[in-house]
Amino acid sequence: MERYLRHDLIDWFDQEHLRATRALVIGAGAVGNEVVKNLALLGVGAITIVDFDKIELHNLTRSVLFSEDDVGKYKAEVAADAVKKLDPNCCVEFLIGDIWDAVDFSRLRNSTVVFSCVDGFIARIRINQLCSLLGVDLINSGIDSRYVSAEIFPFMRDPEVACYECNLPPSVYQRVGERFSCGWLKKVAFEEKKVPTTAITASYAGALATSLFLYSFREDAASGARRVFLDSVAHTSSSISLSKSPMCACCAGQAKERVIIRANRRIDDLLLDGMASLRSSIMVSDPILVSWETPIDFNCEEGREVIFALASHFSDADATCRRCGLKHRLAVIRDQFTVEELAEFRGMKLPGKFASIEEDGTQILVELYDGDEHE
Amino acid sequence: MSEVSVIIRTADQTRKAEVTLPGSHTGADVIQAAVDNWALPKDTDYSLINTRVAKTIQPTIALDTQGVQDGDVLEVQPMLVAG
Repeated sequence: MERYLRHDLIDWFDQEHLRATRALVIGAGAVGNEVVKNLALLGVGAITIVDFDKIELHNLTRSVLFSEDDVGKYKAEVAADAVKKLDPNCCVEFLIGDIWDAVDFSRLRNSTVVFSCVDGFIARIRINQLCSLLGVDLINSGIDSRYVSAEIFPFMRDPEVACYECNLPPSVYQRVGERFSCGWLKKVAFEEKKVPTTAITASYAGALATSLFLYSFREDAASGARRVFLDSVAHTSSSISLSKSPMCACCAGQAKERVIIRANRRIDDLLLDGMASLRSSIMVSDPILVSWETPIDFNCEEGREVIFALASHFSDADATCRRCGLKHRLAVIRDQFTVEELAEFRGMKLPGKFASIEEDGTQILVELYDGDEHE
Repeated sequence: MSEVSVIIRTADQTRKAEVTLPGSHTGADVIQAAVDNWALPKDTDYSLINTRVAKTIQPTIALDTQGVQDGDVLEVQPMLVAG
């Protein structure tokens, strides 16, 4: 095919492999733009772009696929339109939302590779958790105004490799905690830090992330999880092996055997669907605000209010008592339940993306869905 | 208690120090000392690399159980979070 004439001249270049690749790109900001552009030009067969955000004027200094006419439009949609212009043969889709809400297990498991091009640690931790559990190769990239890093976690080929969280310092968890008051309620007055970045570091990151993917299916590709770290001012770079942590919050202690199913999140249905016979606790992917409790030493008759919804949907302002106006309500937040405890909430739905149960050395991952969907 | 003598430097190599540390110190301890002594930005998180073996040093595990040897050069790299 004439389009790929220059690729065909490279003896190891596997155009067919690229054509069969289904790439999922999370984040269509500066780095996401570069990754999507490279994937389209290389001839990747299918690209899905995920982002919840809209284009702002300040994005245009780093985003190769956006123009001034696009300000106010969804990043994922505009990036997808740009891919169609770069390569009409590419099957491109876009999803408005974040990976936790917009991408189901099926789409993740059908992906050849996931590119994490997001802002912030929380999104990276979540993408890593999903890729690690579902065995999908992950390429993570990050930038500032000088440095660039791109990391590959080949979970599909080797489920035992280090994951992204294996090398996160404790300070990251402290920083993530600063966004929330105790118990994962959002802090009302939290302002996200803006990191300075440039088109230079964004394009380096896009090139490194895409090349890590491109070379990963060569026979002489390095094994294990790796990071390429580049200094765009001194023009130096290093390739680092990422060590696995025996105390990793994500992958340490994961069962080797894993079963993945889908189930309606109605608790009555879950208990009917076989959970009632479980001996183990049920872990939920997201902290749940079970109830608001008023301590008895407060002279208020508010009492207990059962909520049973995602804690992230509430803020510390919700701790204010509706009866007396004082901020004395205590949040009861949990992410682990026994079957008996869950049965107390019959008639309600189990919030979260998935539930996890470890039974007889096998991890059962239950993707939770709403409505009347039938599998 | 065993000690290990290493060189610690920043990624841009503008700061470098030869130090002797207890082997029980963790990667996070080394990073915290670097941030405090060199006034590195506190709103950034860091990763520690053993450049001799081109491998990350675990933040919560003692240096002497991660193969850190006398003369090793440990580099403090920023964890990059923008996309």
